[in-house]
Amino acid sequence: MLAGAFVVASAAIPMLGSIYIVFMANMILMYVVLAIGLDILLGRAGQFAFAHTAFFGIGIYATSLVNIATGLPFYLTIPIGACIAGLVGALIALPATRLKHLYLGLATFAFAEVAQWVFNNWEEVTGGANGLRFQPSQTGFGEITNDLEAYPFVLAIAVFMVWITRNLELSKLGRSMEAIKESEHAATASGISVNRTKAIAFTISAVYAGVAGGMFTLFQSYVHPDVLGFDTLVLVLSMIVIGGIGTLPGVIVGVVLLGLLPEVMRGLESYQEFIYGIILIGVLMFMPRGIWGRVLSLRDSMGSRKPEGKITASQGEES
Amino acid sequence: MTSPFFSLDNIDVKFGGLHAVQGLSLSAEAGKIHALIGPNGAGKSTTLNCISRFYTPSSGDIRFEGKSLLATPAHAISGLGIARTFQNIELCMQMTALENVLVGMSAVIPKYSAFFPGTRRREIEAEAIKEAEALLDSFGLLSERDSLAESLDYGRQKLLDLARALASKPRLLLLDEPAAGLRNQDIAALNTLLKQLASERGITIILIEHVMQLVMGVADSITVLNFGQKIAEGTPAEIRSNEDVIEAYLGKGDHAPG
Repeated sequence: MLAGAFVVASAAIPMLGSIYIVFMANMILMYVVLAIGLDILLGRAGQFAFAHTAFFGIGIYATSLVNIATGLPFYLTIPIGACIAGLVGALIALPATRLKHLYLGLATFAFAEVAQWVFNNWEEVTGGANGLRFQPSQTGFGEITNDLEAYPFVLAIAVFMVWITRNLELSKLGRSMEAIKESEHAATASGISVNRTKAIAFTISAVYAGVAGGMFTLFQSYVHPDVLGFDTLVLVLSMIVIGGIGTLPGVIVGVVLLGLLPEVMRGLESYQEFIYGIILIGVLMFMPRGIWGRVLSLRDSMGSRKPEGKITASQGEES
Repeated sequence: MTSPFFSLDNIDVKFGGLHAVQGLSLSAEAGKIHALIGPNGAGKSTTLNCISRFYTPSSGDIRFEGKSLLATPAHAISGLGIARTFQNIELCMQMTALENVLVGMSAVIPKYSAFFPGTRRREIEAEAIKEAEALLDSFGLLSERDSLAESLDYGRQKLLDLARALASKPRLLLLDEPAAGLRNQDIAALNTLLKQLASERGITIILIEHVMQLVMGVADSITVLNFGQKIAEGTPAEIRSNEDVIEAYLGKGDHAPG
């Protein structure tokens, strides 16, 4: 029902008239996919990997370059871009499965920095520091030339990715990911290959980032390597942590909240980082499981419902 | 001569300069309970970790149902029909009791498309959940179905660890100190349970345990380790009266070490 309400509300957005609101909606929907993808690796499989913006960038450049080269419709270029991101993700997964915790974080962060350096310096392909101007995405019937035209497709992709994530959550693979986060020993003894599951999580996460990159090319006309850096990673991380790590509704709440925040704070731009920081610290202190974890624990303490497992034990001992 | 159901053939395990297990051989008959006892540091858990393939012995062979396990990775052991519990409980603490049992069923739940929903996947999951619930019920844990593993008391966590192991329908079950920290009535219940598993379901059990009350009550045969070497082997009655074992481990008093 919640999902239905979400779709109806989203469908109504273009009727608000303002093209800027539609742009915001596109942006937020793209961040939903980007954040869910990082959360699969971080929140579900428990891998502290920070190469997400690199895969996002690969998705943007690959999708856009394939479009420029072939003029194929977006429903082909975006999967191609996502596959390329996933392929690189799978390659990174090989060494990454040998690393843990802080070391994994540092190694993947280093990879993200290298990727950004490549985006900045491989001028023949990425346009280097001048950025890359996209060509309009093809629909097979015409071109997507503005935010309003892009919106239905962006919305459809986001809904599709959320639906896939929901299925992942309910599947054996989703459970295996959680199991390797909780206890590698128990998982191994139960027949779950820890390395294989990590590699799959890495690859899936990179594919999500690649899809988000493809969505970016639908409604944007230009990318500069600066948006593929640490700032974006921190923003996506904050969305996950504030909304509720490892929970699908939580991540979406976090994305919408932080996505709208710059609008709410218009005129306060110079305080933006400061306000972000305050919110992040506040959430970490008072809602360690994020907003969604708090909602669930309130619901449980009010009603007589049975606690719903991982989400409701909101004391947040878990890292 | 037919090969035994399970055997260790002359295995050695070395950690740097430490020779943790030295030339250990033992065999286990199907449907019997075999206890592995000895003082701390004797190499019991190391042996169990070899069987479950967390460790690889530096020499020797491990054979199960006529085949060597040495080429099998740890995560494939469960699929072969070998399950284990852990000395320090290894549960997915932030997952529910039901989810932990489902994790234990990983090797027996058929592979299927993870992403795309369909009746087939729903059927498989529904069936697995039904089976997991039945298992929880048989351990008296059904009322804790949706409780997080971390919220269970110690005794119930031990039971859940055992339920998780049994979820893969093993033919060989490796138990690392299942009675440690349990109350007397729980140990009595465990005694009955282990006997049932062996006699009614034909599960072969290799049991590491310091609680002699349990070992002497359930074991069909006992192997005693000391400093990585086998010092005795026999029925509980033989072991109880073995001078070397009394010297190294059991002690002369009436009370076995706990």
